[in-house]
Amino acid sequence: MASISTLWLAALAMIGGMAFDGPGLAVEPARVAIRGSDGRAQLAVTSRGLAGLPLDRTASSQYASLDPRVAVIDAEGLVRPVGDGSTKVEVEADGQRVTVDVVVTDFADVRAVHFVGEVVPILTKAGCNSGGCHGKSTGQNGFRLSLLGFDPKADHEALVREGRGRRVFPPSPAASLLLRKPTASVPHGGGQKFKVDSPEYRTLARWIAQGTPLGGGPDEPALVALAVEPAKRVVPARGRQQLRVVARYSDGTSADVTRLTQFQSNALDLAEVDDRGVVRTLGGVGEAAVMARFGGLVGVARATIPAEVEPPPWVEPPSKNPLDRFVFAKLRELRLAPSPNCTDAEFARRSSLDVCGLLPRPAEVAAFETDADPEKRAKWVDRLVDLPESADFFAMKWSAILKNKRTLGDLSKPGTFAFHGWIRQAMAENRPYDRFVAEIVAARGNANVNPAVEWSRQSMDVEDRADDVAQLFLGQRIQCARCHHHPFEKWSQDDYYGFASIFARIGVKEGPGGLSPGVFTHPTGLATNPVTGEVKRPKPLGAAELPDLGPTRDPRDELAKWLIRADNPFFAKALVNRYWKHFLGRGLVEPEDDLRATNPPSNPELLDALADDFIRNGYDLKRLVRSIATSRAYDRSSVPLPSNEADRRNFARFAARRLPAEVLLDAIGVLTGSPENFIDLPEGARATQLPDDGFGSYFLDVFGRPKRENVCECERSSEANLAQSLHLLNSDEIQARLTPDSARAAKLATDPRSDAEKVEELYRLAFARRPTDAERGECVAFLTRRASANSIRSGYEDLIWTLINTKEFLFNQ
Amino acid sequence: MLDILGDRYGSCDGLGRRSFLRIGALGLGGLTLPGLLRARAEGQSPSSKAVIQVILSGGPSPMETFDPKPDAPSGYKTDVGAIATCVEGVSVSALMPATAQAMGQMALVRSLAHSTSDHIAGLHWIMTGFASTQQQQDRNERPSVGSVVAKLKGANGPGVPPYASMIEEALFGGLFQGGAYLGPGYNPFALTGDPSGDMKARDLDPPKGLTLARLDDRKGLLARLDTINRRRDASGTMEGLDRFTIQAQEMVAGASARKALDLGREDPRLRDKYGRTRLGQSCLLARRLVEAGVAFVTIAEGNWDHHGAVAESCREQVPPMDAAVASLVEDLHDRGLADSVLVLVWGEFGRTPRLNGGGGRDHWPGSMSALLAGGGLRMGQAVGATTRKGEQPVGRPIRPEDVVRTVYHVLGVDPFHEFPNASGRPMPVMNVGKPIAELI
Repeated sequence: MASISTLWLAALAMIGGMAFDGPGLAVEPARVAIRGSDGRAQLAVTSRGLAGLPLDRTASSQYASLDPRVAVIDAEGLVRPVGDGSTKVEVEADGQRVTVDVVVTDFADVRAVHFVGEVVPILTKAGCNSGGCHGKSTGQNGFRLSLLGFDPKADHEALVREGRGRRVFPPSPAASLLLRKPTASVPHGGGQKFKVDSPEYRTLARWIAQGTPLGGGPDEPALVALAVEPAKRVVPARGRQQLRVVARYSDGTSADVTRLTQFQSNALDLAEVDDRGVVRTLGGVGEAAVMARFGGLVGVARATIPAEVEPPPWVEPPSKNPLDRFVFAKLRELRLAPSPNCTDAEFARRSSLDVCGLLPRPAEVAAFETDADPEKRAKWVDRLVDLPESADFFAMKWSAILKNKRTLGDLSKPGTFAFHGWIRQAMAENRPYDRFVAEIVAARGNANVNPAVEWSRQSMDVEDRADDVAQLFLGQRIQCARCHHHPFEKWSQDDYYGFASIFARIGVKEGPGGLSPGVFTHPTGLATNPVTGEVKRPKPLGAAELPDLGPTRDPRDELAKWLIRADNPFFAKALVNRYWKHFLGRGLVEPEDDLRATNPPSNPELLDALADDFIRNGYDLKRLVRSIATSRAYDRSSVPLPSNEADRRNFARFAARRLPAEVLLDAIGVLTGSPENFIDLPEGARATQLPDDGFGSYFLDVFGRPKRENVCECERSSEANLAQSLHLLNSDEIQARLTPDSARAAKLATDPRSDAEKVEELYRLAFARRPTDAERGECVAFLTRRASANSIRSGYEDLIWTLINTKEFLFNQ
Repeated sequence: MLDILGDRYGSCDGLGRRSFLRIGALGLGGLTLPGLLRARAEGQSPSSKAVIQVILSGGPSPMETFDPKPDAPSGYKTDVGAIATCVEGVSVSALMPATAQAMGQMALVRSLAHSTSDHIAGLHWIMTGFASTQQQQDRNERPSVGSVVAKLKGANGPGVPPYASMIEEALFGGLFQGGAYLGPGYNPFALTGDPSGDMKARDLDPPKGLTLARLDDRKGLLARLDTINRRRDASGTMEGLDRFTIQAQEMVAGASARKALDLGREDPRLRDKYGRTRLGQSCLLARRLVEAGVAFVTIAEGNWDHHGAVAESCREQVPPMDAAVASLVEDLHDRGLADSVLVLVWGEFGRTPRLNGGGGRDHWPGSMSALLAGGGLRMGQAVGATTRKGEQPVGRPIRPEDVVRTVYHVLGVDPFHEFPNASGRPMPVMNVGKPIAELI
């Protein structure tokens, strides 16, 4: 038994390229340099674990300092200085021994305290400048710091100049509120953050005694980079890993800042991290990322956590789809077996719902089941992709996140209807995605000529435009940087307002009732950073400033060109991730529009492959849909295996989900034979064809249709709630669909076929599959009982009601 | 024995007759204690507190209600007069005799103020605790207080929703009672219609033509056919729907929700006392709902936007409001629920202390009043005061966020709990304001 597991792990170690190939025991770093009496350095000890995988031994090694007058080391591998000089520490585990050099300098602390690199990180780590405390925009009890210390100059000002000199008091540092409050020597709403004479305390006291230098002069080394180590490692499902964080400065020096770094896990169900940088895994399976924040920089470490359970023999479903290689490699790495192939009926229902928003027709499913062609699933998907219903369904998706909404009531209607028609046409003709986006973001002209201007004229707010374009098309949530540096990203307020400037020249003409007839390019217009008062020139995110375009050329045209440049790191990834989530229920990055280094994809290789393929094939959306929907990942069963039950991130099985509000309403219309009628639309129009938000429906609202106020797909809710259950179980509206003479129940009641045949048809309609013998028996018995009471019609009404209320109907699985 | 009642709720004439009766009842083992107290004795959380919020939409005038300013100069002073209450030094509008008598069980906050004179923005502020950042909002930027309570606390009893509302259809500017980024599951359970006439809870009565027996038959068939493996859905939504299905079936077939909504079970004399008005019967119904376990009820009444002839309008509208609110407070007190249920009455802003040319008052956020009762807070006082003409608070103004923090304090809701909004930003429940110290 152990041998299978060991072989497996050995294979995995090779696949992951993460085998521990060092000597028996490895200690990082090889040489420790500590500057100042409050410096500390964290060792990380690794030994060769099971099957050659690295195993963290930091907390299970013996440590000894050869000269305790220079440095001491505790049981967790933390080295503290005692006096200037050099020595060695010995690390021992499993009878093996490694020696590390230690050099301590400036123990007398002659050097000035570095405000950005030492003072601010203390405030960040203690939570002083967090959004819940002094970091919020209104501060706390009159004391305001910049959020997470991203504006050290303002923080210096707040500490030194404000507070009438009480916050820092150089003649007697211990009397400073900066020391008395966090030690709770005086009452402090935030409680005690550190102790008197702790390293934090001593550093702050020394900074105050030195006269509170801001530093930052040309001769002072600036912080340039942050390294979190190990950056990627396999960690057992109930294991630990010590992280080390090293700050690098412009003068080439570096310092261990592990104890000054703020850590945060992005997957709290998989891994937690403490303030010493120790990651503990919690028994789950998958990838966890730990963010490290120090001095305005963020870094990330990733832990791959394979399953603990004995893996079944690896059987990989045969596949010609190039995406599957990446999915299965990840599953293998995590020791997660993929669930078996779903049934044909499941595939037919699943793919019809995801590609067209419709239940498949019973006859089509029956034919599909009996088709012997090994390529039949690919052909089925090919057919779906080209159906007009697919254009309807994706037009609904894009209309919602493009906020196609009657902001001015019925006055907006011609514009929103036309924009929806324009989007639908783009989907139907499979307009390349780069062109689709360019035509929206740079739209100009009168709305009656170019319906795509609807998007620009709906909001005249420059910041709203910038936020929406970044989140929707780039997967960058930059709103944070309106008011402060993005807490998890590199975006500063200057980046933000440079990007916003691109939209500052959207001009609108006055029109009746506030409705502008169209959009033109205003000759001038720039955005201003409200904090610095500086006017920012147009600048795409992370790219060079745009050249001066003069009064007639529109910066939005330049944006459109930049979006599709081969080196744009966001555009294609944001889209493929969005579409992957549409089909697999979860993005490779989650949330799907929050792509950033500190929120890494669960499968980076797959995301890269999808994006590369999308770009190489001319941003072909239908091709992307085909490619995802014909992957083996997409046709796994949703029934879990014991070995993948815990997986939610790696697509070992299909993720069942509730039908979207509009799809569910249409499906109920089909099953009951009483479809909804919508005012203003031709008879037979489906809910997935609604052009905008202006169609009141309790059903759609209660099942979470988006209000189209936000570009986030999260606005669409798939949560369960009580009002939904009451409505499905007990409403006049559902009842009124069951009972008319024109409804399916009435027709089935007089249909000459046997009850068993009719039950079969209902099952095909609702679930795509045939009933089991037990189910057929149950239904026929129920109907027979009603027939003998002379109410066969009520029997069919109640049977259809029952099918609507099953989870199998309400869910796509 | 007296300690059980606490000493904060002494009615004005000392301990009332009914209180003695209740003490007697307690002595007999508490058999006559209704609803919540009994549930508590059966081991439910003793912190199962509830809130009944009454919104007087349009912005009620403090001068004609809770802060009469009898010494204001003419041109400011109200025609309707003032009367002393049973709390020394606190007077209210002469249109509010019942409130005056029950003031020992109430507290007024008179130094309330904010900074928007827009109905919509003001309503957003009091309903959520946060000023809206954009003008002319038609939606919640933040979740309503009731939605937060529904999400973090849930209902106090089985078979009823955590958050219910009774809103007059034609309310000025709508009402921000939604769940915003908490999702539509935390919108209130809406009761439509007028409880003094025909009240209807959506989807609670069986559809027309369906007998309970047939519903039962459906339920049985559903149980036999709805057998899909719940483990297919790792998100837990399937199981969530199962739970809601059971709860919905309980509500439809069971007694608690239906009983709670049946005002016919009340003594007609008590119904008369609350007043046979929409507001009066809504208040009575709200009491029944919180007894059944609803944790937050919002009642809203429109038409408090008295730009013209404020005294005349108030002579019509204030007495029924007085009867409704005072009866609710006394009724809760008599039932031993004063500690468990907080009543909060307010509107989106105050009104100009200076009368306009039409004898009306215009929008004025610079000074406004709120009435609070029960919830374990300190009663029998007026917190803060306004200047002689009633134009602004004397000293520290209390803001709507302070009132909301007080509500969360009563309910034990963690104000620093955070929810992500649509852009992933962590949004705290209520990280501004402070519970009103005088009330705690």
